[in-house]
Amino acid sequence: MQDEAFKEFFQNLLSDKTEQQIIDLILQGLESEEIVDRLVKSKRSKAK
Amino acid sequence: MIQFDYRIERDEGDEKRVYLPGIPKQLDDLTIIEGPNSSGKSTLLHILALGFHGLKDKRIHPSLRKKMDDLVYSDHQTLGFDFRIDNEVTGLRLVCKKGRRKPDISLYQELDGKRTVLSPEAFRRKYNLIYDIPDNPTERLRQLTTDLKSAQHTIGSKVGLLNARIREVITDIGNSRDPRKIKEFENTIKKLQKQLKDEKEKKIRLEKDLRLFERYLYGKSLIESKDELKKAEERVRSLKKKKRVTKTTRTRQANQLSSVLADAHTSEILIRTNMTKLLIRLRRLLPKEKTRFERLEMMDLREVLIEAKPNDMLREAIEHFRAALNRITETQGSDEFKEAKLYSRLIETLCDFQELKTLIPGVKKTVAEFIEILEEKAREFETLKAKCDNIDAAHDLLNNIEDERDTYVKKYSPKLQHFSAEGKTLDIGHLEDVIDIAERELEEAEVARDRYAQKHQDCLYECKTRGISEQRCAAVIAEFEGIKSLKPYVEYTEMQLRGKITDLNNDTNKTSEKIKNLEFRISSNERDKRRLEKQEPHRHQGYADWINTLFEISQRLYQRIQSEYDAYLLALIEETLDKAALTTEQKQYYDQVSHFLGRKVEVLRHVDNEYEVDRIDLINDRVHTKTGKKIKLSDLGTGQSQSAYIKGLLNQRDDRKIIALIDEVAMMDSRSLQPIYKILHKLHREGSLLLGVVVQRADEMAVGPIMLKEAGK
Repeated sequence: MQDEAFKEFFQNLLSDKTEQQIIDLILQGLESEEIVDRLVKSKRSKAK
Repeated sequence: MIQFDYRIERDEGDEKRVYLPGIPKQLDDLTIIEGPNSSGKSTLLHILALGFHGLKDKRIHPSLRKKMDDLVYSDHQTLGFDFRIDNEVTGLRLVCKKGRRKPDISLYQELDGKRTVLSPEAFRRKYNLIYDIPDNPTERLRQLTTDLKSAQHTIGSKVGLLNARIREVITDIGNSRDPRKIKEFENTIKKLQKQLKDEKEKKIRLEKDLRLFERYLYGKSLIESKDELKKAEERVRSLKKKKRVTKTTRTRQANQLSSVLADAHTSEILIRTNMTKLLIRLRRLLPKEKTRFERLEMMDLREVLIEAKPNDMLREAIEHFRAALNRITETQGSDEFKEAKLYSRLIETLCDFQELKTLIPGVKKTVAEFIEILEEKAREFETLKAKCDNIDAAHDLLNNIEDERDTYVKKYSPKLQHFSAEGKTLDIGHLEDVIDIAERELEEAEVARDRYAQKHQDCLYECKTRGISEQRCAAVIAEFEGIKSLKPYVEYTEMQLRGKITDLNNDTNKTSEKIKNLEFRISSNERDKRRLEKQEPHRHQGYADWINTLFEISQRLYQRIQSEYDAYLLALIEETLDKAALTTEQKQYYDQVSHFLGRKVEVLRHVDNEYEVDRIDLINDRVHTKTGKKIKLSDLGTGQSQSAYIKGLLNQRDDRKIIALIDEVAMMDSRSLQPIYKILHKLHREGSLLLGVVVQRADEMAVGPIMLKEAGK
């Protein structure tokens, strides 16, 4: 489900960055395990 | 390209007819079918939708589903069909068949030589069937939100799955070799071991105190109970003796009293009877003595007799009446009394000889005749004689009363006076009460003695259990009383000491429970620590805290999408909103919905111009264009709003292949249809659209590919 309209809808609705990231990854069609890995990776890179 | 065929056999009452396709059986991917009513163009769309499991697709308008249902399940007709769609670019083929006799539909896809059966669920996962009739399109713009509803639901479910996964990761990290967690375990174990040590020491103290108190209590109780038992036994012995003496004494007294009372009673009755007889006679002889008679009748004879005074009322009365009777005798003359007696005695004597015929010398009369003469003479003295008899009888009665009184006074009065002097009532029942009291006292004393005996036995047992002999008791007590900290307890009663022992027992048990619990927790922590030490570190090891936060975020997001957003959207679809009471969150949400719908419709034709749509506000029924124009939905032409609605449907883009079947677009002019055709061509070019069939009413039958007008024409 890669619909820009949906993505825009949710991104505008959610103010929390992590929430936005989650929706983005879901709309990219990633599975839950990948989403967790991506989120941790993103957190790790921000920490550096 | 699509190839199809069908056969409908219908019973129309007067005849049975067969309907076959009236249009070419092979069509392009993008086809428009124009034709008059009942030419079979809508029937083709019904059949295609049936083949794609449209009967089970709730998104399809109910009026269309009803028509599909009629085709399959009506009694008056049978339908058989087959069709095949081939995509030349991808090599994908969809094949569908339905026999005329059975309602079952067989649908499968073929790709790269592989055939896959498409159940309704499998079909919906891979294909998006858009089958619609633009009925009341202005109102149905609202229904474009169903796409959003479905997306929200899908995303909400995926967030739910993400929650579950995050929870798993948290558990996995907890179960992996985490040095921080191992350290936490070590600290916890250390803390618990310290607590365990303290509790064990406390338990030893409590047990020592408990032992001291128990030994003191039972030692002291043994001595006390022995003393109490001894006293109780002594009392029982004493009461037994008392009871025996009381019983003997009282029995003797009772017997004596009983006999005296009986004899005295007989004597008293005799006196009373004679008194009654006497008074009857005296009332005739001494009528003036009425007052004295009354006093005598009122007299308490028993009291007078028991008191036995020398000149009591009875004795005085006897003397008085005797003198009075003598005076009567003297007053009447002794000769008359003697003469009366003479005749009376003569008659009495002669009566024994009245049968004799012998004549009595001097009077020459027989005995019987002489008796008659004497009786005649005696009658002259009859009244005097009766009075004389009464006086004699009264004297006799006075003598009897006097004799009986003297006997009573001599025999009974002293004894009865003696009982009275002891303060006892002259009642035998009282003596029985005294014995009963003594028996009761004894019974109570025996019960008390048995109780002390039992207590003493219990104390002996308790002391023996604790290794205290009777001889050691004093030493045990001295030992306890010698401990300074225990001084206050020396003043305690047995009950208070027992209470203290119960408290100590409870405290000891609680401490034992705590110790068990601590030992269990230590062992459990040690086991977990050992298990962790054997594990490999988790790849997200250092991010455990952050992942916990992530779980909270994800949980919150799930709640918001599944509960709040879903409710907001439902209220919008069902038009149950209170416009005046919208919360900030609702306003934000509906604002985003209006932008979402604007993106779906993209371009709108109004009057003679095309406008780029910024948003469609379903709360206020307005379309906002990017140029700032606000168009009321009700002001849109039917064809224009129909066009907007169809575009909205076609803009539902995801990974699935689209099959678009659009019926009855007659209200749209070519300028309204062109934007739809553009979208169909665009989707087809992108490979997203597998088949697009548009049906329009027209006077003449015409079937052909959907064509785009060149710009400017």
